[in-house]
Amino acid sequence: MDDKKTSTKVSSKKIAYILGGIALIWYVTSMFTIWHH
Amino acid sequence: MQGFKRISLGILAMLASINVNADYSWNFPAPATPMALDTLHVHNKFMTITGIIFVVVLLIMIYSIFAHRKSKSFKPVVDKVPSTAVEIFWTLIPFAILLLIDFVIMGIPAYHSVVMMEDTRDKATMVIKITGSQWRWQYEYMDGDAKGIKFVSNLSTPKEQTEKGFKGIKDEHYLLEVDNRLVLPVGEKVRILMTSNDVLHNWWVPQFGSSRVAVPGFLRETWVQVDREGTYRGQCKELCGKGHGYMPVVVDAVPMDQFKIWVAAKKDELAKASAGSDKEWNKEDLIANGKTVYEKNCAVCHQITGAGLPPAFPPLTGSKIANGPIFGADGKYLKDSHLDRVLNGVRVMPAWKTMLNDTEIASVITYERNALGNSVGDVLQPAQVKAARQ
Amino acid sequence: MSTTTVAHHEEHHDHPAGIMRWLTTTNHKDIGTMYLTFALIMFLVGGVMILAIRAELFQPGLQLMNPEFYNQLIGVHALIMIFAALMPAATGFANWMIPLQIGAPDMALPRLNNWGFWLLPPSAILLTLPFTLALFGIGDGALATGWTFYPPLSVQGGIGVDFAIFAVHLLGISSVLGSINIIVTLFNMRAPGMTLMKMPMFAWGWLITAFLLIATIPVLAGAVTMLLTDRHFGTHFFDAAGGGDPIMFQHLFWFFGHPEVYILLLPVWGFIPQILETFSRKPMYGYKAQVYSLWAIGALAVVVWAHHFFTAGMPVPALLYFMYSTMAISLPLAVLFFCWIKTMWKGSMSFETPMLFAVGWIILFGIGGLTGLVLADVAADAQYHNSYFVVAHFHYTLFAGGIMGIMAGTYYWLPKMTGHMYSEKLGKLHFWLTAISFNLTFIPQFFLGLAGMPRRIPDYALQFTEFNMISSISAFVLGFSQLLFVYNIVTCARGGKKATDQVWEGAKGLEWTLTSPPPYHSFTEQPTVK
Repeated sequence: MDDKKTSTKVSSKKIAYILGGIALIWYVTSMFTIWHH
Repeated sequence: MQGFKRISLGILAMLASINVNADYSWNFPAPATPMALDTLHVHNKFMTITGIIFVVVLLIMIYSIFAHRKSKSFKPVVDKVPSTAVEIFWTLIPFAILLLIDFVIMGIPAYHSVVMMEDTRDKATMVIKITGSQWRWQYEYMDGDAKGIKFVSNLSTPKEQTEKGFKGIKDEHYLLEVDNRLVLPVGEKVRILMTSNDVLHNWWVPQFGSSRVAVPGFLRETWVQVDREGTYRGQCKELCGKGHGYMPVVVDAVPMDQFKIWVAAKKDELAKASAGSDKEWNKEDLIANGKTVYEKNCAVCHQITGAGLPPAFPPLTGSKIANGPIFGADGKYLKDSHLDRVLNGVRVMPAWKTMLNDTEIASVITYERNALGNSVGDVLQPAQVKAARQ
Repeated sequence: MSTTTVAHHEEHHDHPAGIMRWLTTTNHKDIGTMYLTFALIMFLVGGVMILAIRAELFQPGLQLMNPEFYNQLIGVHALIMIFAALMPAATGFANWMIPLQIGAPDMALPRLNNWGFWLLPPSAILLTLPFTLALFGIGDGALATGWTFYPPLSVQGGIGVDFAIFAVHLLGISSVLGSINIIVTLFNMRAPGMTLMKMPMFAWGWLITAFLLIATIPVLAGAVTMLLTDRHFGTHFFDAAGGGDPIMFQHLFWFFGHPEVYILLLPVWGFIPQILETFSRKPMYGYKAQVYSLWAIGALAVVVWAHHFFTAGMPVPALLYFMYSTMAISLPLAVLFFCWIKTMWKGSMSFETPMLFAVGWIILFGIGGLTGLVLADVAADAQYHNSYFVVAHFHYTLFAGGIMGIMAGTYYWLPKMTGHMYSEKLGKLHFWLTAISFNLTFIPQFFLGLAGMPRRIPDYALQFTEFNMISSISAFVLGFSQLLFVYNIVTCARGGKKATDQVWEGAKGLEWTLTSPPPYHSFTEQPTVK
């Protein structure tokens, strides 16, 4: 099981961090957008 | 096998016996307002169209299931890779059919229905305010002859019928009957302002076809115009706690002249009740009256014995508040005293000052201090409650 | 090196045995098995809860429980079925089948995969623990607000609400981790030659699901976090007295909640056409049309949320927009139905259990979809909203559409996963009992809703008696029929007629090129796709 990837432009780890980061930022902003005071 | 047969026969017999008084209904109850009538038509139209689509498609499928089987040696066809134009055409047929149904056949009338439903002011001849609370509706007439009429509408099915394990005969309108009904004149467009004292509720009478959420801190609007005389029953439609199934709506729609008579009588009744707050009451009468008020309003949380349901609902028996002083040296009622609690509520306990009059509050406090396992001995007069509201 | 030597070499690979194997595994098949087992157990737990409810609703009056307890059962039943049964089942199939179908040795992020699963058992415990605690006098039970958590009622509620909030946080994180894994796997690990438009439909279904989950779970998490702070930390997000708005919660919840129902369905829309083409012995019709339709539904799913609370009151333009956008979803759905049926048409069909379920699924999910269309009409919705009509509608879409879909997938893939054939007789019996009792349970509920019975009430007025009785009896038949399913799965896992690699004559896809069951490490050589 040598190549765990086919030729790809973006590494799996990178995509994972990007998606995870989006989820986290989205979580925080969804609370701040309706912060009243 | 014998046991299985017996059980099935038993179930069938039971089902059959129910059918003797069976009340099967297959569509909305008879509409009494323009909105309900409109909705009935929309529903019937939609059901017919979707029913036809369903049956046609089902028949096609059934045909295919029987004809295109391996067991019949049917040879599978290989769908030719269609030209893009053909594929688009075939795919667009279901697309187009639904486009027509959704946005033209149903969609255009739906637009008009929405506009009609949301127009609460045009041609409205009276305004009422409905307040939902846990677990009763409160009605207030805001204008016209009836202005100032305000009362609470409690479930009037005897409590023991709703208790777990009750085996007797239930009222005909079990769970759908109240002590004070909302009375409206037939044929008049009534604008309804809706709010809540605590959590979300939803006021719904199926035959009226309108339903609106009661939101605490906000005023929502809807309207009804009851076109037929009659008694109409509905329920709360938004989960609001353990009493959600126990706060019905009952509306009497009567001709205008009868409505006016009712208005006069109700005003009289309410005046008498509040006049009670000017006279001096004796202890026994306060306690007796208080028992009725308690069982109607307080027992649902604090239980009929006063034992409460901790941690959510504290007991009254032996409680510090029910046994403690009400007034301070300056003659004003103390914070967190018995009177403060009942008037202003706390956490999930409502502020009863909006729903009970001076006499009711004085009676229930006197009752709680001299029954339910308490024997404080003192008495609270309605006049004192009236003064405390200032 | 011949394959037999390779297989022999396999068995000496050390992966731990016993408990440690399951706790630490990064193998997609093991993790898939855990997800599926967990889902099956929780399905039964949620089922017992609803049977208790249907027993209470058998007759008017209260017989078995108090309203407070009843309110707990209904909400927890829903949370369990949605988050602990349906979603893990779909994730279980994703884990098992996606690497096999795309020719990948495993998921892209195997350790993340393990964490994603192991978040689930603690969440299930958090959700159900309050029931037990209440028996010991701690707290007053589980969440009693319905699965929708609406404030201010949920701000009033006891510790059950807090437990449920934490459970939802964990479940949400698990879903997001799983989604990240699926997206990365599908982008980066397809066998050479498998372009996106050659991916199996199941992969497409899950790709869109994964994006929807990442887009919406954070909003749900935000909403319940704000609920937690309103409850304990003095905030007023949903409290009018403090300048907030209870209805804002509904916007946030349903922004997640509506896409959630498509999250529950998209994986099924992925593998049902695969089952149909297998048993019709002809390729699925309209692959491209189906893919585009799935995308269209995914996109529309995120912009229609307010149809869940039309009666809460909103400006007329909003009502109209949400009505028309909701109706628009029926268009790509119609295309999907057309493609599914055209797949069957002029095929050479046989009706083993997976196909029975798939065909029954089309019909019953169709009823669910059609009854959803009428709910979109704002004015009419005043009547349907929060009545039993809605309860019937969503059980047609989620039980017939979701759960029976999962059952179809289970029978379809069980031989591949276990290496044995399940009992076909028992499978067919399970299908007929389920399909018939399901209809008898929920059709009366449509009429109850029309007649005016609201939902979430423990007791009802006398005119609703007959339909409730029929519904309750049928529900018990439905519930007990599922024991046949469990029995069939367990005996199949343990033994039975040996399954071939191909299993089904018309089966297509890379998973059918492997042995049944596949070796612990599926592909030792990467397949190429023409």
